[in-house]
This record gives sequence, C-alpha cells and structure tokens, in this order.
Amino acid sequence: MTTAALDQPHAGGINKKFLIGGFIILAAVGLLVMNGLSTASVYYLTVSEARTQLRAGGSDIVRINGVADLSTVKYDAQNLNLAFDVVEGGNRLPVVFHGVVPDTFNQSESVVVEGTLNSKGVFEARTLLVKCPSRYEPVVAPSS
Amino acid sequence: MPTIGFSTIQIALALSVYGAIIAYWGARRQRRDLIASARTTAFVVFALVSLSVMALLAQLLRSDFNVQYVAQYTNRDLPTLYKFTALWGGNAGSLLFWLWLLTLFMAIVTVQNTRRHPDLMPYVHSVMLTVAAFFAGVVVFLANPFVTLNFTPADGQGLNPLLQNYWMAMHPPLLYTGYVGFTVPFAFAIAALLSKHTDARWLKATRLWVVVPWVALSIGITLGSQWAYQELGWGGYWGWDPVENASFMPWLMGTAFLHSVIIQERRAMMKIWNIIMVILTFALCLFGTFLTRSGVIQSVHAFANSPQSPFFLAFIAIVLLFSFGLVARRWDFLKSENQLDSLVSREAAFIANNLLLIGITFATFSGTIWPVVTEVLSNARITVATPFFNRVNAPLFGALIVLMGMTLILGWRRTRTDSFWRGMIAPCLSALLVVIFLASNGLHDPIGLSGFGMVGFSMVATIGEFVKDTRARQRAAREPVHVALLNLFRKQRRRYGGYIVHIAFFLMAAGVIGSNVYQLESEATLQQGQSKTLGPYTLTYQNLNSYSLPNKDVVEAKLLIQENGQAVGAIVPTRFFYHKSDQPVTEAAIRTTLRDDLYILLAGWDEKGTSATFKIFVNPLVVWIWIGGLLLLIGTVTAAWPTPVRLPTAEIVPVPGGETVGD
Repeated sequence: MTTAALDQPHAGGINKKFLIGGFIILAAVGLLVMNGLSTASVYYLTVSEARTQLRAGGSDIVRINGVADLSTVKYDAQNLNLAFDVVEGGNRLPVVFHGVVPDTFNQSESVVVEGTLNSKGVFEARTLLVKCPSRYEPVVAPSS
Repeated sequence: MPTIGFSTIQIALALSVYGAIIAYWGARRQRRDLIASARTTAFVVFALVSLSVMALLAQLLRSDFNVQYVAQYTNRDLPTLYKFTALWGGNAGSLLFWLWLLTLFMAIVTVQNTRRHPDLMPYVHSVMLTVAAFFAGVVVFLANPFVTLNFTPADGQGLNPLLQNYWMAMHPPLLYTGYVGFTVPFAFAIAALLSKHTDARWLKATRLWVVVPWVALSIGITLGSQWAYQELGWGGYWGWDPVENASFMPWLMGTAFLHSVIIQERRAMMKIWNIIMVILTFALCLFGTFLTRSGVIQSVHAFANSPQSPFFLAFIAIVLLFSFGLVARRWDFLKSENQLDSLVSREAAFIANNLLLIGITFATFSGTIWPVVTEVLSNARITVATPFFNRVNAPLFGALIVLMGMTLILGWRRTRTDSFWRGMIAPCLSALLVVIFLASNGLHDPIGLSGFGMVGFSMVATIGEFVKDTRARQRAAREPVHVALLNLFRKQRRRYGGYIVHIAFFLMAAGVIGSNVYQLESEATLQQGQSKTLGPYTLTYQNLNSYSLPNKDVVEAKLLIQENGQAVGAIVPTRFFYHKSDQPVTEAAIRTTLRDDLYILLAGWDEKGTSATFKIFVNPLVVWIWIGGLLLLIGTVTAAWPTPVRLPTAEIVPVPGGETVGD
C-alpha cells in the first residue's frame, strides 16, 4: 500500500530508484520498531500471574495490574516511601514505591505498578499508575 | 426534557439512514428530487441533533439530577462553565457532541459546495450521513445521555477537581473538531471515487477542511500536554499513553496528507496516495475516538469500559474495506499524469517526509496495540512504554526535522548541484555552531547535541528562505526591508505562513529535546531554613501556611529561590483539599523562564510544618513548546485565512501546513 503511489503506471528507471529509496526508509522504520519491541517490552501480569511466574530477586521488569488494598497503605510523607498490597482475585502482593503519590491514589480502584520483585518477595515499583475507571480522569506518576 | 432530547436523536438516526440511501440513489439515477431531498435531510438532521444537544445542555445547566448523566458529571456548586463543558465530559455526552459537530460541518459544507460541486455533493451527503447514522445509532442504542434515574439525587457527583481547568475544558472540543473535521475531506475523496471525478477538485474543495482540523488537533494536543504538565504533577507533559497516542496518530497522518496534497496540486502526481492518506487519517480519527472509550488497551486516561467497542471496530473495518475496495475499483482513474523526475528534488523530499510520518504513525500504532497483539498471539500481554516510543520515534523525528530543512534547499523536479551546496552552507555551519556552543558549555549528551544540531540546521534553512526572498524583493521592487517582508506574506501567505508553522515546530522540538535530555530531578525533606540546590537554583524552605477557603482547605509551603547565588523571589507549591472530594490536589508551583522551568511539588510535611518534603524538577526549555504552539496557530491562520482576492496561480506556491490564498 505504501508503495502504491510510487509504483506509477509508466514505471521507468527513475521510479525504481524511488522504490528503493522508499524501501530504505520503511525498512529503517521496521528495524527501529522491531528493535524497540525486543528491547523495551515489559510483561503485563495479573497479581496471581506475578505470584506464580515471578522469581524473587530476579531482574525482570514487569507491570502488574490490580486493586490497591487501601487498608494496607502506609505512606511516609517525609521520605516519600509508600507501601501497600495490590490484590486481585484473592491474591495479594506487597508493593513498595518511592516517590510522590498521585493525588487520586486514595480513590482509585485500579493501579498499575511497574518494577521488579526483590529477594524478600516485595514488589519494588519504580512507576505507579493510577487508573480511574469511573470517569475520564487521567493520572500518571512515574517516579525517579 | 430528556424525552425531547432522546426522541430528536432517534428521528435524526432514522433520517440519516434515509438520507444516506436516497443521496446515493439520487446520484446514481440522476434524480434531482432525491438529491434535493437528501440535501434537506442533511439540514434537518443538523437541526434535530442541535435540539438534542440543547436539551442535554438545558438539563446540565438546570442541574436536573434525575438524568443520570447530569448526576454523574456535575453537581450543584459546580461553576456554570463546567456544567456547560460537562456536555463532552462523559462518554455518552461526548458521542452526542461528536455527532453534533459532524452534522454542523455537514451543514456548512452543504452551504459552501452545493452550487460549486453538484456532482460530488450527493455522495458527500451519503458518506457524511452514513457516519452520522453510525454515531446516532451508538447514542440511541448504546450510550444514551438522556437515561433517567428512578429517583432524583439531592446532588450530583461533580467533576473531578483536576479537570476544573480552562485549558482542559477546551481540550476535548478541539480534539473533536480535528477528529470530526477530517470526515469532510474523507467524504469528498469517496465522492470523487464514486462519481469518477478523480481530478484535484475534491482536494481544492476541502483545503480548509484539512487545515482547520489539523490545527485544531495540534492545539488540542498542546493544551492537553500543558494541562498534564500543570496538574498531574510528575514533571512531564507527554507519557505516550494509549489515549495520548490516539490523538497523536491522526495528527501525524493528517500532517502527511496536508503535505502530499501539495504535490498533487503542483505536479499532478500522487492521486492514489492522497486518497489512501485521507482514508487512513479518517480511520485513525475513528480509532482514536474508539480507543478513548474502549478499555481494550490499559490506559490511565480511558473512559469506563463501554459496550460500544465491537461496534466501533466493526465500523472502522467496514470503512476501510469499503474505501480500499473502491480505490481498487477506480484504480484506472487514479493514474497520475506525471512521474517523479529526480531523487534529489523537492517532490522526492515530500515523499520521504510522508514516509517518515507514516513510519512514526506505524511505530506509535504498533506500540499502542502491542499488548493486544501479544495477548492474541501468545496469550501473554506484553506492553511497551515510554522507552519504546522514545527510542523508535526520536530518530524518525530527527530525520523528519533535517528533511524539513533540506526540502527548502531542493528545487522542484530537479536540483542543480551548485545551488544545492550553496544552500547547504549556512544551515550546516549553524548546526556546527550549535553543537560547539553546547559542547563548550559542558553539555555532551550525544542525543541532545545531535537533536539541537538538527533543529539548528533546519531553523536556519527556513529563516534563510525569508532572508533570501526578502532580499530579492528589496532588489527587484526597491522596497525597504520591512515592506519587502510584509509583501512576502501579502503575496504568498500560504507559503510563508507554512514556514512559520515549521519554525513553530522547530521551537517545540527544541523544547521537547531540552526537557527530555537535560531534565534535572530531585527530592528533599527540608527543615525551616534549610536549603537544597538543583542546577542553577538553590531553594530555602521558609514556612508552611494553611488556611480555609469556602470550598477547600489550602496548605502551602514557601521557598526562597536563589539563582546562581542571586535571590530571585519565592515559590509556593500548594496542596488543596476540596471539601467535596476526598482527593487532595497537588498544585505544582512552576517558575517559568525562557531558559527553564523550576517545577516544585509539595509532597508532604510534618504536623507543625517545621519540615516539609518537596519534589523538584528543572525542566529546560519547556516554555518553547507552548510558545511554539502559539506560533503554530499564528502561522496556520496566516496561511489559511481566506481572502476574497483571487491571485494568479503562478503566485500560489503551495507549502507545508498552508492554504492557498484566494480559494
């Protein structure tokens, strides 16, 4: 489809050059995308999948989707350390996060954390995303 | 009132279906009566949808909480402005608003073109009424904003305080103007195919309908970023979230279309290409509308998961199948009259520019839908985030920026070698100077250096056009500098307005590079009187102050700022606690200069306020993104503002981002 317009009816020698030029650009895009997908991919797991599939102390960065159990929240506002359990279907996983807690954290039903599982079995989140399913309300809070 | 709103939309649905069919039928059978009836139907549908919108607005403004939508998105104390903007604040209302814009544009297009393009208009009506029927169907059957509750709540749930922001209130209508606006060139393209009148007439008829949606999308996206920057408190303005990408993709494709059109006008080439571009742009607009409310892809922005998803996907599939099927059937009508002459020509650069924009769209699209693809293929969801998009799109944007400068140095059809190299001197030298200047100031990051070098190259190449052409006028017409410069714009507004848009884009690029590559970030818990230094700034915590306002409690911390040892004032990061909401609102304190933004969040404090915790960012050059956005608007208006005077075609030099004068 992308070569359609280049492939003019009177395809002459010059248009071949164009096809090659266009192909080079598209190939470069393709390579960049493939390289990006292979180097920047992150597994997206549910809490139960994380419990069964993640190795404690491993270096795999994953995203986990679940509900923050607000009764377990501990926030040290002086040092910006947040701890809570993320739960889903009876499974729970303790999470720690260092950074400013998003304003909507206390109200959200759904959170996404990205990070690694440390050797103590606690998920160290480097990113905490808060999702508000009820309304059009964007909130993002990647941390350092 | 709810019944009026709902029944008008039901009638509008029925009439849209009727109009779409008889418009097509009338055009095929050359039945003037049917064509005229379809035209009337277009106006009636617009009137009916307007009534429906007014009914919903009336309910919102009167706080009729018996209506579920009103109760969900407003409350009694909400300022009137936000009661009004709640029209597009929720899923159902925003779909009705989409439909209303569509019918409004259809009415305007009808008035504009009935006499000028009698052969195309019935088909345009047929296409636009079909799209209207789809959206009316969604509103009637799946997302009805007029649903009433079986009780009347005392008060509504209100609007999230984060969204109570003027810029954010304007963001959705601008995006929708973009999404919906691209329906017009799409409808004309299909009309050209159906009527077999595949000359450039459909393009000329819709010039303004490409530029206006494009600039609306541009400004809408910029305002959304600014809102995110001010309100979301993570120091950034763009997170490559699926919903952000949803608006970015039609913008990219629309930008490509905006430029490829120029080649068809100049050189009668790329007919098929342009039709494909407008089809894809429109499909991406639908996809964007879908993505925002689908819940298919995990997004922090999305509306609630809604039942419309399969219908949207089916509609997009039908649009694509029908459109491309039609292109295939009309292939013989679409052969170009000309072919490319040389790889080193302006046309070739335009095509390369198009391919790059398509490449960026493709990369963004792949990253956005990757979780869905991997889930289907491998049963594991794999997602990509900011690193992917930056890694892939940054080099592509770099190439695009260089190409924007190169295009100006290249001539139409072919370029003479000597003039090419003469044109390259100043831009290359300035790129080199920029790199040397930055490196000698201790900025060695290769991405930053190459990025600014590229921007410098193309900026100077673009400004060079103004200098060269102004000089030429000065010599030829013996005009003083300012008169010559003004006359450039007077004679070729589309061209020079387009250059201004390009300069605006370079400024925005500089802001993006600066704030991404050189951002400084830190956090500190400070006792009163204690200081923290970040970059050129030293911040000293003074005190914490708290007080109550009628609707909220306020906690604010005061910090003194020293810049390179000089006292330059104070900064007050704040946190609000709205009485109506459990949610605190952290207001970033931002001190903006042309060089950088000092961006501070109040993250926490002890009970007496003797110590407080801050998150601090220094974001270089961010303000240039907003300045660029404003300049982009100015440039587009300069290029596109219609004038009654018709200039000789020889004077009309089409240029990226522009609109020909006098049409």
